[in-house]
Amino acid sequence: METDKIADILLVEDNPNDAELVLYALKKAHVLNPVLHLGDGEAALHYLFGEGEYAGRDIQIRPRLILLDLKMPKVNGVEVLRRLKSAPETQKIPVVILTSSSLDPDIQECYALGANSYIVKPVDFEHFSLSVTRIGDYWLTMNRPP
Amino acid sequence: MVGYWDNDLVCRYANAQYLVWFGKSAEQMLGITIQELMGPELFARNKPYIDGALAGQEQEFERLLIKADGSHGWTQARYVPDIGGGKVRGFFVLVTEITQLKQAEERIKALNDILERRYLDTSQALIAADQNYREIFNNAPIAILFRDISTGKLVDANPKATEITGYSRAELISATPELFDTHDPAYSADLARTLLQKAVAGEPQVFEWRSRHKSGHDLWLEINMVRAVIGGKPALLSFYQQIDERKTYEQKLNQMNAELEVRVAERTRELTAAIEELKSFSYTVSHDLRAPLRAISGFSRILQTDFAAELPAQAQHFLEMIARNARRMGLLIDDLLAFSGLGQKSLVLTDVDLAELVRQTILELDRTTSHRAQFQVKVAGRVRADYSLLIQVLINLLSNAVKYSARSEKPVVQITSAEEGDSIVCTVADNGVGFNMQYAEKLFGVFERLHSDTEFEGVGVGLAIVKRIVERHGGRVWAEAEEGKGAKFFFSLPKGANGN
Repeated sequence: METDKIADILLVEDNPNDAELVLYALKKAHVLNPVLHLGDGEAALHYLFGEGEYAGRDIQIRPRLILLDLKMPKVNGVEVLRRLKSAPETQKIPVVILTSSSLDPDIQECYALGANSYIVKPVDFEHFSLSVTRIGDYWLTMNRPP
Repeated sequence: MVGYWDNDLVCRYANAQYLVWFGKSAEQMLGITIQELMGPELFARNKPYIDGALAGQEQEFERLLIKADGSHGWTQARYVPDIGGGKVRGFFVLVTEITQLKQAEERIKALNDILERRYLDTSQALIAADQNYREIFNNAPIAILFRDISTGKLVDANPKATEITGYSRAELISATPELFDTHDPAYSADLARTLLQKAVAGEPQVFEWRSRHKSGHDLWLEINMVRAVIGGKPALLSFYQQIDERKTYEQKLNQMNAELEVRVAERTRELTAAIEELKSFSYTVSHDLRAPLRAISGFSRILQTDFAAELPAQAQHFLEMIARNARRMGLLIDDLLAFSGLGQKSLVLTDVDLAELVRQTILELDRTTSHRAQFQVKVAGRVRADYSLLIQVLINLLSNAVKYSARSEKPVVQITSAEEGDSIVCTVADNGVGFNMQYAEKLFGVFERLHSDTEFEGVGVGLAIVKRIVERHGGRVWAEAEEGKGAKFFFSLPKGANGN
């Protein structure tokens, strides 16, 4: 059931290819935490705040990392970020922005809104792990296979 | 001289002067007849007076006499009859020389004549002058009217006034402002009176007026009113010029202007819409083109890195080709978008700290590319520029410098700045392959490249973008190079304000 979905990592990405590359990079980094992939911003917000199709979900169970694509239909990444960072329940979740260009002016806006770092797509492993390490690799250490 | 002649015209007495005048002795005088003394000519001329005296009437006359010594003298003669016992017994002759008097008279007359002539000449001149002014008045190509201020009445109007207004001189003289009223509130009779009063008060008026021709149609006039003195009396001079043609042109011009404004507004709307369409098209294209490209790049890279062991050299080589082309296409899209988007965005100018900008650029380069170049930076000051656009300039120039010096043993990229008047000139110098100065012109053209694609990756838009951006800021770009030695790229930007 929708409301049962739990994940440590929330990947919000509308492009299936980009999503696949992210998941591959995560695998390469030996991240075994459950990843929830949602295809647009609206679904992401519904999930995080227990609305819409996720109404009734226990929203205390929150992801520990959000990988957020910027350009998405319905509700785009910047909007999602804005809502995330303005709600006390979700404010503290680290967010890594996925962007197609390092010169994207939206990056600055995202930093201003409280994003932690950004990765340029297509995600390659080296840059990916570098980026998430910057946040504090607590979730990496947390996930070291026993 | 004094003498007495009896009624037989015999001299009975003559005083000494008489003797001197006529050159006779006393003996000769007494008993001489007047005819003998005067001579036939003089006697003939004096006879009427002699007869008059003998008839008992006093005679007085002037006569020019020739003296005995031959000289002339003017005399005034009086014949006074001697009447006794009811009869004229004779007459006294009293003669006074009035030569000098006469001369004086003559001189006065001469002077008078001169004066008369002068007066005549002046009068004629005045009349002639008056004629000249009359001529001007009558032939003037503009209407001239003048009004006696004290009576308020129009005194005269020239033929042109009639021609222009259609009213005869007499009609004009008796006209009131109502006659010319077109019922246009902007040109009312009251306003006419006000303007008239102002002119009368000494303030010359020049204005356009909508008037009425006698035949009823509109008449556009340019009216000049000025106070003057005519015939010694304060008068108001009015000059009318017909400006119907001018007015027609004015109206046409206004109409054309209005039409033009409408067309311009329409065109602007069209253009703005087109630009918006283009912007969103560019954005869509970029976004939609990039997505599959990412997939190609991403997956081929994974194959290259993670499946290298399973792939023969040939396969790896082909994968490399795929990856490289995908990268190239990505650059192409980026650059094209940047280039096409450049015109529309308006500059957001701030005072940009050059040193900080260069630092950020180098950081970005270090992060996104792997290069061996050593940066030597010596920049100072601030420039007035759009931060995001300027970063692009630096990224393009620095990445070029890095790229083209990648083959050098010790690639060095120097970035310096210098003040030049109101601008700051920045230099990006590398010790790479350089280029042939002969082709320097082409350097900044779109898609122009001086090295083939196999030697150095690139699309050829980067410098065109740099040129576009710098020139939009009012600056200049130029380059110097030597093949094999390296290249220097310069750009100038307006100085920014110093301070915190």
